[in-house]
Amino acid sequence: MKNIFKRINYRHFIAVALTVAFALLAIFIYNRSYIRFYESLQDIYTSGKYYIHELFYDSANDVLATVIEPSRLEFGDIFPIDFETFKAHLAEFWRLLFTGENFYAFLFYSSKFLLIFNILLTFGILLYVSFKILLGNLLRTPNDKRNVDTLPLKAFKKVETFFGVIAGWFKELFSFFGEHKYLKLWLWIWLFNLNIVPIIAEVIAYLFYFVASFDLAHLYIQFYKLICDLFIMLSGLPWYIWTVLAMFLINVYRRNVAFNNLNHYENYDTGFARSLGIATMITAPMNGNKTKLATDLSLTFSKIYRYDARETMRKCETQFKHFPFSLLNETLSEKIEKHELYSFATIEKFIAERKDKFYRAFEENGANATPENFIWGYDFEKFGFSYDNKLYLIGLFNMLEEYSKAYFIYTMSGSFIVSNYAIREDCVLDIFVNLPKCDYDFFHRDSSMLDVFSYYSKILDFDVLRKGKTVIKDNPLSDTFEFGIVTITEFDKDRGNQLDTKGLKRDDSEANQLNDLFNYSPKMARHSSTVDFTPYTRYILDLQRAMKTEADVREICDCVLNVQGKDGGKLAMPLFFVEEFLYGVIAERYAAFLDDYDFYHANNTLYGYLAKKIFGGFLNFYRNTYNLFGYDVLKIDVQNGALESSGNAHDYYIMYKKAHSDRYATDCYGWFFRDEALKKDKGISDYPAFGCSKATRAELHAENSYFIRALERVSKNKSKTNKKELDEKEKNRS
Amino acid sequence: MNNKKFIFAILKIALLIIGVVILAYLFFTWGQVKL
Repeated sequence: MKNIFKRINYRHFIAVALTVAFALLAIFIYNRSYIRFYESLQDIYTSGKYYIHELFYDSANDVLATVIEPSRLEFGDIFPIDFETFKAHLAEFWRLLFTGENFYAFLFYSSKFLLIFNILLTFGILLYVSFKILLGNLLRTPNDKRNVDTLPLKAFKKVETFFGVIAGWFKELFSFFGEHKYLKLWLWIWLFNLNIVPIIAEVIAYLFYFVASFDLAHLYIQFYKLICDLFIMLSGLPWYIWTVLAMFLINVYRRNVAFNNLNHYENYDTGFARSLGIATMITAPMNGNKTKLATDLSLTFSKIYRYDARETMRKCETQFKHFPFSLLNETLSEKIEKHELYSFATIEKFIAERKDKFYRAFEENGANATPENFIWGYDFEKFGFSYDNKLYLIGLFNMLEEYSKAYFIYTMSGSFIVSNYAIREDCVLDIFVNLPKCDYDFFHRDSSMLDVFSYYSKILDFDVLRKGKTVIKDNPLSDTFEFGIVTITEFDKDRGNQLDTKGLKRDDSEANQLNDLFNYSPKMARHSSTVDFTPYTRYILDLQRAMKTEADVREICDCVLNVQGKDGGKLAMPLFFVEEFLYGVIAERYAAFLDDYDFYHANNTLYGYLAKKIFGGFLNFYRNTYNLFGYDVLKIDVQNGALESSGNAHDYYIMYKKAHSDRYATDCYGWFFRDEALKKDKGISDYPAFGCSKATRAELHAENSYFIRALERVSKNKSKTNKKELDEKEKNRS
Repeated sequence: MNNKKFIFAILKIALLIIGVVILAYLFFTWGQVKL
């Protein structure tokens, strides 16, 4: 017996004790709710009976629908029971509402609360003022003991550790209750205890009764019963617990709305991305969010590709519903893993070989010929070889080819994005029995687990896009690019326009912008990347000015998106105004406090610790909320590639949780500057500074500016003063 | 501090308080009704 107790987690006993306590509460305190529950069940039964009688026996006169009768419980005079009295009450209510004495009575009545409020306010202000004076003195008493805790802080930390252990225990207990479904059980107990289930049951009962009887005369009694039920519900818990509960529910509600809003914006962006052609150019001045937009669009396309590939697979599965796709999936996944299938070309070849083998076996027609072995055992004699989609016949092998290519896209582990800067992706491929499930929910990702499911875009070797001469002769990656999202930042700097490439020659032995036939890649992209009539290639090019590229590549782009500006710092979550107000009150004061605190103190004090914990904690919460649910609206001007059309205005939503979660480095070329700078032993702090507001001649000379040099030359010619003399004069002056 | 957001927050809180007071007055008046 003792062993059994030892083996069972002690938390189960707590859970059982709590369950028993709730059940006892149900019997002794909330028994009215259960009487109401019984009545509501009775109401549903009689209403259902009434409904069936009315529907199948023509008349339900002999059935008494108890839903139109008041409860047997006594409620005193909380509300008038019949409609006539209610009307009289209502008339009196309206009369009273606009009378002076009632208003004064209200003021007198509320003065009780006002008094409490006043006392609290006065004490609050007194506390605040005295605290501020005290704190001001404490704050301005300097202390230079670096990182030494004061005695009160030491004591507080000890107490905190103690309570932290208790809080940790409770937290663990709570998650234990959640894991073992106790929370669900208690939720149901309390839905009954607080009379919430009967309210819903009564609505159902009245619906049954009403659709059969169209009896509006008894509507009032439903209202009366609802008031009584709400009375039972609200009196079930004290007001402060209701307040906490309401705040909790409001928080759940507003977070749900926020996630819905983010999903809505994401769908809006996806719709916009789908409307774009194969190549898209993004232009904006420096710091104009163009790389951010390019990255966001790339992620959106990546999601679209997996969804579209899956849609193609679904279509194939529906059209050839007797084909054993799970066996095909197994073969494909094995061959992809062994690197036998790694491109559309190899997949097409594989299916063509299968087709060849199948027909050879089919033509043999001997007793040992088993052609179905080459089509994964599909019973082609029974289920046929083709599907008629009312446009044309889809052959089995055509379908297999499209399905296999779609499978390759859908299940590819790693990124489709091929870019000249790193982009982080986090599509989770959930692999279970047969086909993996891909999850592209950008908004529910646990940021502390990013490392676990992150992968990065493929390095763009520009040679893969060069159909002509390549920088690396016989580059092994040449001609391997079939599908994917090519994202190029600072595109103009790589390609340049006609002026930039003026000195270059087409017949140069080395690859250059004129002889590498780069533009053929986006032009012919569709032909290598199409699966089921959908091209799986996009070129997203970002640059500062569209005219900085040559006309040909510009006009390949069906759209030039010019980022005009943004409406930033919005929040997708409603009902955040109290926090917004608190932030307005706290942020500046906290900043001023911290400035003073860090100025006077090298040690750690209790009030500094508390301020960081409470106010700093709130600021962290506020900023994290914006990180999760914040978004910017980019104002985009959409033009065609020839830049002839008048632009269409479009809004693009940049959601922080999707676009800012370590997606790319805004300083992606940083290493170049760092490596060079490390070779030197000087930095900006070592630069010589001007001596006064008017520069001396030597200071101007130190600028090494073309302009100053030109001025110096002119001046030298005129006055024949050489630099040596100038330096001497300067020396004398200093 | 984003001034616009702060001012809107104050306005919303004011509206909330006014709403609560009006609701309290309505409930109070209903309680006063005697026939």
